[in-house]
Amino acid sequence: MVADLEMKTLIIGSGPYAVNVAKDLLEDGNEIIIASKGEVAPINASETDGIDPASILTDTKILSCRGCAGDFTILMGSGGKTVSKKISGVVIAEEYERKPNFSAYGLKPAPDVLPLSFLTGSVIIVKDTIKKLPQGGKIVFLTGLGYESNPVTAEEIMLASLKLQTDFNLQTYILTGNLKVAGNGLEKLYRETKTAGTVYFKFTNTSPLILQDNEGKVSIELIDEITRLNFRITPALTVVDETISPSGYLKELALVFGLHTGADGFLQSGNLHRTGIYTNRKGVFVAGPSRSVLNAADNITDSANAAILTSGTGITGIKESKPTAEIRSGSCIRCLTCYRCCPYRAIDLDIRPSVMSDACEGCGICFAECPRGAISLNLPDNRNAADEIRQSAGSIKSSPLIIAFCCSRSAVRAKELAICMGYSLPENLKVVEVPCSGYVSMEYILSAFQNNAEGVLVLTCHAGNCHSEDGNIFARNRVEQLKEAFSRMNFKKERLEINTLASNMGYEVAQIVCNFENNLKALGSGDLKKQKEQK
Amino acid sequence: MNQTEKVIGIEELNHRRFKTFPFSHDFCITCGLCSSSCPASGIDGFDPRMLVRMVGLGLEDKVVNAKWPWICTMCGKCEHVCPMDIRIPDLVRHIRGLREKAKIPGVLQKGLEAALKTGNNLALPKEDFIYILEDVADEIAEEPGFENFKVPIDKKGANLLTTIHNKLVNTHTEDLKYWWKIFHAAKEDWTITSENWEGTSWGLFTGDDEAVKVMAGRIVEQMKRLEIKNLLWPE
Repeated sequence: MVADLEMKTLIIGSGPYAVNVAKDLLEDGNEIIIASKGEVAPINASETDGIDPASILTDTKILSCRGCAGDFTILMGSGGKTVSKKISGVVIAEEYERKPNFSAYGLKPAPDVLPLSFLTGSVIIVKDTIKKLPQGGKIVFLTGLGYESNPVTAEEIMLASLKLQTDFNLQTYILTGNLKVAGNGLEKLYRETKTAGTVYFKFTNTSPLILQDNEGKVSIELIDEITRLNFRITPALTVVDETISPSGYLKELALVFGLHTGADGFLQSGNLHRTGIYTNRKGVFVAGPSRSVLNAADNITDSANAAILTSGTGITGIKESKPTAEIRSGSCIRCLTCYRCCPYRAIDLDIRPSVMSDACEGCGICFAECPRGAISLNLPDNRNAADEIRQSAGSIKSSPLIIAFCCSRSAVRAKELAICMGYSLPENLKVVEVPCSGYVSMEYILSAFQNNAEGVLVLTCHAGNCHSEDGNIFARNRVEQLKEAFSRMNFKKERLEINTLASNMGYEVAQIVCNFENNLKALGSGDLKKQKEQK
Repeated sequence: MNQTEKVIGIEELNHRRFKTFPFSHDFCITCGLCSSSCPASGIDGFDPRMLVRMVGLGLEDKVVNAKWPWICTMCGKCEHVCPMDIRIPDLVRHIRGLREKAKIPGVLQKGLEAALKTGNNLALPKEDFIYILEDVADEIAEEPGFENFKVPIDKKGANLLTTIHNKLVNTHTEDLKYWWKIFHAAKEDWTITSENWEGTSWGLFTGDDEAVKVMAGRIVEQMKRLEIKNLLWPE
C-alpha cells in the first residue's frame, strides 16, 4: 500500500465533464487526481493539455471512502495495486450510458439507420455521411414513440435537424409521441426548426408503421392525426433516439460513498434539499451526467460549480458551532445501527464507531435509533428535551395537555406563522422543538405520556422534504409501532398522531392541533386513569 | 393504416411552398385552441387547425380547392386565442386568393368583376343611379322639417364624401334616408359622387388584393376630383 499525505480533489470520471472539473481546479492552483475506471485513458492529449499524466489514474476503481469533507481517506484499486489517497473533496462526473432504441422501432442498425449520438458527435464524420446522401433525400428522426422521452433528447434532435435543414438543405421529419420542450430555450429552438422547414408528426392515438427491408432500407407509413391523411416517407437516413441512463458504475459508487440515489439510478435523491450538485455527504459532489439527464450546457455548469466548491478551502466551508452527536464508548456494543441510519455518513468506523463532528448535522436520528442509548445529542442553546417534557407536566389546566414534538425546519415555523396569523391554539399545548423528527425517540413519546400528556403529536416535514432524508420516515415508523402497542394495551391509540407540514402552513397547523384537542376531549380519560392505576 | 384513403408519398409535397406567405410560418403546436374557439368549426368538416396543418405540410391543391376557406367568416377568434401567434384569418384569405377565379363560390367574383368594369357591383348606369338618389331625396322632402331637402351629388369642396353600398340603391333604398336625415339635421356639408361610388370591395373576401387596390384607388380619385378631405366609408 502506498500512502499519500497531500490534499487533493478526487475526480471520478473519464469524459469531458471530468476533464472540465480538473482543468478548472488546476487553473485555481489546486491539486487533483482523476480516477477513471477504464483501462485506457479515454481522453485524448489535446483535451488533457496541462493535466499532469501522473495525476490521471486509469483502470482504477474506488474501494472505500473514510473520513469527512476536507479529510477523506480513499482506497483505490489501480492497475492491480491498492492505493490510499488523502483527499479533500470528491467530484463524481461519470458519463451517461446511451443505448440506441433500434428495437423499440423494430429497426436494425444499417448504413442509413443510425443512432442519434452519431449526429451529435464529431462534426467531420457527420459531414461525410451527410454529403453522401442523395439530393432531396429525406431524414427521419424517431423519438419518444411508445415511451416518455426527455428535453435533452428533444434538444439534440432539434439542433441536429436545424443543422441539416440550414447547412445541408435537407428535409427533416421528426416523428414523436410527445415532444419534450420543458427546457431552457427549447420553445425557441422548436420555432427555429419550424422556420427552417422541419416537419413534425405527432402520434397520440396511432403509431407509424416502420418497415425495413433486407438491405436495411426503411419505409414509413403513417397517419397524420390532424388531417387524418395517410403518408409514406422513404427516408434516405433514419435517426433513432437513445435511452440516456446513468453509468452502471454509479451503483458501486453509491455504496462506497453512502450516497442516496434517485429512482432513476442517478446519484441524487429526489429530496428537495439535494439541489445543484450536492449529495447527502458533505464534500462529495455529483456533477452533470452523474446526477440527472441534463443538456450539455447544464453539464458544463455543473462541472464548473464542482470545481468552485472543491477548490482551496472551499470544501470545508465555515464551521458552524452546533451540537453534534457523541457516542459513549462504555455503552456502545458496536452494532453499527448509527452507521446505517446516519444520512450524512458522519459515523467513522475504526476500532469503535465515532461521530465525525465536521460531518454531523445534528439531526439526532442515531440518538433515537441507538438500541443501547449510547448516543447523546444536546439541543441547540443547551436545551434538553427530557427536561422540557417534565416541565410541561407542571401546570394542570381544564384542557388536555398536548405535547407536540415539532421539527425546527417545518412545524415550529408553521406554528409561529399560525400565531402571527392570529389563529388560536389549544390552551395547554406544549411545543418541544427538535432538530428533526428523527430525533423523537420512543422514549421521549412515552415520557410525554408519563408526564401527564393526554395526547402527543409528532409534527414533521412532508415525504421527500426531510433535510436529513429519512428522519420523517423513522419518526413515522416509531409512531406506528407505538400506536400498535397502545391498541393492544387498552390505551387509546388516537392519543398519538403524526402529521406532515411545511413551514408556510400556518392555517393547517392550527387546524391539526385544534382538531387533535377536540378528539382528545371526546376520548375522555378512562384509559388514562387505568394506566395510572396500573402504575 | 386507414385503408379507405390513398397514401400520399411525402416527396409529392413541397413543405416550403407556403413559406412564401409572409405570415404563415407554421409554428403550430397542434393545441387546438383555434378549433375550439372557431364558431364555424365542424361545418362541413371545417377545422382551422387542420387547415393550418395542411398548409404546413404543403397540401396546396387540397386546401385551395376545399370548401373550408369559404366557410370561415374571418371573425379572427382563432388568431386571438392562438398561443403561437399564427395569423389564421390572413392565411385563409391568402388561400382564397389562390383559387381559380372561375371557381370562386357564389356571386362574389361576378359582383367583383362588374365593379371593376363598371364602377359598382350592380353594373348600374350613372343615369339610373342619379334617378334613384333624387327619387329618395324627393320622398324625404315630403316629410315635415325636410321641405327643401336635396341630395348633393358631385358637390365640389364639400366637407364629407360618403360611399354607397350597392344594396342601398337596389333593395334597401329606405336605409339611405336615415343617413341623409342625420346629415341634414347635423347641417353636414356632404356629397355623393356620381361615379365609382361603390362602397363594397369584394376583393376583400376573395383574397384579391389587386381588386381591393383598384376599388380603394377610385374612391381616392373621386376625393381628389371633388377636392374633399374627409371620407365616410360605411361598408
